[in-house]
Amino acid sequence: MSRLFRYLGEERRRYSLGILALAVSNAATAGIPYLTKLAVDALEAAAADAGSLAGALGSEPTLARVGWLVATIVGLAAVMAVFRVQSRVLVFDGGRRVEYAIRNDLFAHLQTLGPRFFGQLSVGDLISRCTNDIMALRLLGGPGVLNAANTVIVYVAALVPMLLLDARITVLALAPLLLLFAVTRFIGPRIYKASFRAQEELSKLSEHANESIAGIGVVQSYVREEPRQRSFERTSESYRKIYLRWVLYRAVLLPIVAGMGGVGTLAILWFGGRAVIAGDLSLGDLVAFLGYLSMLMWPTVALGWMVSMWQRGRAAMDRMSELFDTQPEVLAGPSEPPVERLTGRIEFRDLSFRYGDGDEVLSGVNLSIEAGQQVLVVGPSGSGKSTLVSLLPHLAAVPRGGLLIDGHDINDLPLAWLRRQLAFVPQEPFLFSMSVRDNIAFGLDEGDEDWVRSAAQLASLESDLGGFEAGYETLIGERGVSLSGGQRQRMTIARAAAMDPAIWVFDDCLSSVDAATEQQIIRNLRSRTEQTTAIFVSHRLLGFEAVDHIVVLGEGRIVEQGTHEDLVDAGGWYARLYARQRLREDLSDDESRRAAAVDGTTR
Amino acid sequence: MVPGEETWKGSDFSLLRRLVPYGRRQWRPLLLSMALLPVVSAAQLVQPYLLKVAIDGPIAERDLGGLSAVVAVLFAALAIQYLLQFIQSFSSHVAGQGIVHELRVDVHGHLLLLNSRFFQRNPAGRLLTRCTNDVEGIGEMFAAGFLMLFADVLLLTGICGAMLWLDLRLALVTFASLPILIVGTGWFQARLRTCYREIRRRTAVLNSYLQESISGIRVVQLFGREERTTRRFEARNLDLVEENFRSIRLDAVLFAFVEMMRHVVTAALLWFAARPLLDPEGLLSFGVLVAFLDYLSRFFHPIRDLSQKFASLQSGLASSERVFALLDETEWVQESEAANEQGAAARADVAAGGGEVCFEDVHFAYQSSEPVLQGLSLKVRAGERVALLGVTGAGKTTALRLVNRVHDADSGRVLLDGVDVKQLPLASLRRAVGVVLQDVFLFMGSIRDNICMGEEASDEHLWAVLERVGAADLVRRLGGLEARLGERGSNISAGERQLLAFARVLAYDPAVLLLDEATSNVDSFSELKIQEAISTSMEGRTTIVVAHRLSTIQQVDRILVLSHGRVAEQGSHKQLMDRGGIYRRLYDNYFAASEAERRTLAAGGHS
Repeated sequence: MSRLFRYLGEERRRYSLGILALAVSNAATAGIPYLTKLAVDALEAAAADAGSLAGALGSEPTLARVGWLVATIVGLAAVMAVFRVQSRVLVFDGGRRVEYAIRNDLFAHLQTLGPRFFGQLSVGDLISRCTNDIMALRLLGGPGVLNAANTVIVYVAALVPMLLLDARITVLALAPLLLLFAVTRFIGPRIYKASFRAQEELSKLSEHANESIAGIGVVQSYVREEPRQRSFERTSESYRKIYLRWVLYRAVLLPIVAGMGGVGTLAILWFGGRAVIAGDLSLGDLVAFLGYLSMLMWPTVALGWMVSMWQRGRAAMDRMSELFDTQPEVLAGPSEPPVERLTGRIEFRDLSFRYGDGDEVLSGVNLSIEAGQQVLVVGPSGSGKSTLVSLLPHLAAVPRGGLLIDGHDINDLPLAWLRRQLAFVPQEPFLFSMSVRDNIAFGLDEGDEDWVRSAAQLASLESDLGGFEAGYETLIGERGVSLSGGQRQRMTIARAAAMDPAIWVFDDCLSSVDAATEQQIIRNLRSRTEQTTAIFVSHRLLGFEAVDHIVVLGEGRIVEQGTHEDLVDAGGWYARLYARQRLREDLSDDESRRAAAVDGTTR
Repeated sequence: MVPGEETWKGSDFSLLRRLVPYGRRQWRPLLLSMALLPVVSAAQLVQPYLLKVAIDGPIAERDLGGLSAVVAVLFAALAIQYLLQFIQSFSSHVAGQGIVHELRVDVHGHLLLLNSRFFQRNPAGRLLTRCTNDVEGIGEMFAAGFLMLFADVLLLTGICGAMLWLDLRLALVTFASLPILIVGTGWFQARLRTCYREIRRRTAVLNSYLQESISGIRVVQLFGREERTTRRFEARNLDLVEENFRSIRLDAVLFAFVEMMRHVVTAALLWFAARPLLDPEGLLSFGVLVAFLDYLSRFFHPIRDLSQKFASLQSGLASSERVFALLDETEWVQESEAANEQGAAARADVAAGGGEVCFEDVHFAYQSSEPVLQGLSLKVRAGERVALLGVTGAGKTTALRLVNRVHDADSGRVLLDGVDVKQLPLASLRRAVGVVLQDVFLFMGSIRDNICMGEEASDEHLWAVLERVGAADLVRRLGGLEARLGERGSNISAGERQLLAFARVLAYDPAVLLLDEATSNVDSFSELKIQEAISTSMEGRTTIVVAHRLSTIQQVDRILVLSHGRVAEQGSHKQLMDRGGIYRRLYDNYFAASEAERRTLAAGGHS
């Protein structure tokens, strides 16, 4: 919760000015029942005299006095209105600014978190926290603060005159409110728990619907509509139940709190009425008492409402803190880079790596890549290829001394600076809902026309773009055209190519591109990357024979390495795979089946 | 309006009529809630009157016993009000949530029926909103809109009646304020409504940016674009907060305006009450004045909220417009009457012939201007394995989609074992046809759920399937069949996801298997393993593969080359090579590319 108070503290100037304005407007409001009392008293006195002879003469001054009182009430109402507007604007703005700041900070914080974090939480859950939970906090920071302040101020403003009028009746009228503390203690934690769980269920619900929509093809072709629908119904049902429990607690709380105010009216009428009968209290006093009590009515109701809002906000803040308290695995590093530009020398030194407490994914990797060298990394699925190359852009924490770039430990390099000089093309071709140009220029500071065009050429995208009406301005994604898998992959290559990096990493990013285009792109890349360190992860070996170094990974270790010729001569795993791919290329049915059989026995 | 966004064409009235059945199913809590409202209002209304009775009666007459009686009645009124208010408010939420639940389930169920054309047209984010926020909006409309509006109108009518009855002159003084009040709140509310609409729009912009940035967070990080992405988010956030500031100002002025009016009317009442009070003939009693002032304090809140509730009603109506437009969407695969009649009985018979697939002069176009299939005729015998080849746009993937009725042919017929697929019950058809798509979709949940997709299957059977596709090691490494997969299988690699997709289709054990470039994402080892597994387990199973890599085609019995939406060539690899047509050109192009590489290598060149 201290985090929330810190955000609220940022707005203290606004809040205190707002509360000041609130105090002024409430003071003005508090004067009104008193003036009403004065008027009633004056009228009552005059009316009592009316029967006597003086009555007829006395009515004019009484009316003049009432006239003054009425005019003062109108004046006070105007003052109240002016300050009321100020107080609401200041405090509600404060709440919105708290919301704004939390949302910005949360977004910036999410930007620093790594793949492990995002692997654990679904997008639906994250969105739900960024919207529904932040809304609960905003209610706390705006209306919550205003009502809390209002309740305190109104109580003070009303209590002082009430006590002056009659202390005994005041105490009796407000005594039931003490019960409120007991009620709050009982119901508060229950409201907290119910709203925490309701928010969780709501997350699940949107997660489920989100998956149904995204996976509709699979659901339909496997005829899974019914079970899918049934499980959605269950999720929706359990959300309904927990939400209604929250409603129930709130529904219990509000009448109890409001009822206590009602009991106050009873007390005033009973004790006050007796006092008026006994002549201890004027009728005007009784009217004023009732006026003050009606002033307290709304703040008292708001008190109950605030209990539930406070608990809901607390639950939301706890869910939010789960995100804020996740520390980034990789820190931003020093602010000053050691050199202006990397040359691209890479060295893995006895590097072992695991995700969290998981099994070791890489063990004792030693690998030296000179600047400008081209390296191919191969190996079976799950052998650690993708993990190895994902350490280069420092996506996960690298043990100190395990990975050096240009002789500097990767932990000593500024993170953003490193990533700007390294073009990484991931397996998953993710594109943004922007124009083709903006997607390609994603890594550039300003979209330089020539860079974008030459990058598109390199990725063999030109002819595809010719097919789009708007060319480079064509929108991609939900509101625009949908691209084929191959087109998406080539877009991601163009995006990386536009960066003019010192190091290239291609993480098996050509799998959906047809073979002829793949060969074309590899040729383009090889001529373009001559002066650049380039690391390819690939399942296809053909076309990569000329690279400087080939590394074969098996279960997180380097099992073979050397040039193509070295490895073919060594006759190991690489040689066998290469031979098989060659054979299959020759479309010789028998040979390939035999090779497959060989593979089956050796693995 | 955003292009493609469906809206309801009917009137508000017909919209409400659509809601009636949902309301009717919640008749118990709704009726209870409605029935309690007048009682609650009456209990509230009687309280100020009791004050008047107390002041004018027992207090004025110094009658202690009478005072006790009035206090007892007041206590009863209060008790009734709060007890019933509790029941009323809870039952209205029960009704609201019941309606929300039913609508949500209906919307979700309806989405599951719609076809791919619909999903291409409608972004996922928008559909998700229908399922969540829009149905909540409708529930809100019931619980907070209708019922509260009803309650407020009851209360206001009661207060007006009570005022008129107590004192006509003072009542008219009070009502004189109404025109100003109504015009004033109306003016503010109109502005607030535009403001809220703009806030909703900006919220949607912010949220879709948020969603995309989170989905693409890895790319953002890889390109070191965190700062710029955050800046853009902040700009959208600022847009939103600024519009919110505007609404706060409007709302604050409105609030203060109504409160001020209340005090001004109080002052006016005092002024106009002064003379009658002083009149020796007792034209007005103090009790009446006190009761009046009390009624007055209860009069303004509902009036201020009336237009607000009207607004929530309107936004609820807008939500139901969108929800019902979606529920009216019939872009699904039509089941023929014959198929419905055959129903479940026909289920077992589908593909009993072993799964012969036949296209007869099939025409199909996504847009009428661009025909995709133009008289496609082909026949795949039961148990035969066939590869479809052709340049991009030749219609390979489209042809597959017609078999399990993702789309329906514009003309011509697609037959499964001699029966038009349109005549088969859809569920039976899809049970007979298994699909592995290029993009593997895995659900959050256990590996078991992802493989048997909710059907019963023994552990031994599943492990056998996993062994056959070579995914057993993977599953063991992840922690067994109950191990959880992340969203879309984010915790495993693309190749591994592919393996699980194959396990899924093998567990499904369909008569016909459709593969769409499925092997392209798997590394050579897994690819080989899978192809081995497929060729052994597909004995007697019809298979159609859209082959991207020519190396895939060596697994099949026959090759069909598509061109301009029809079969241009067919035969074995050797026959097609000898023929020297499209296949030969495809093959040579592909082979020439890799051959050139090899020659460069052989020459020792490294260019």
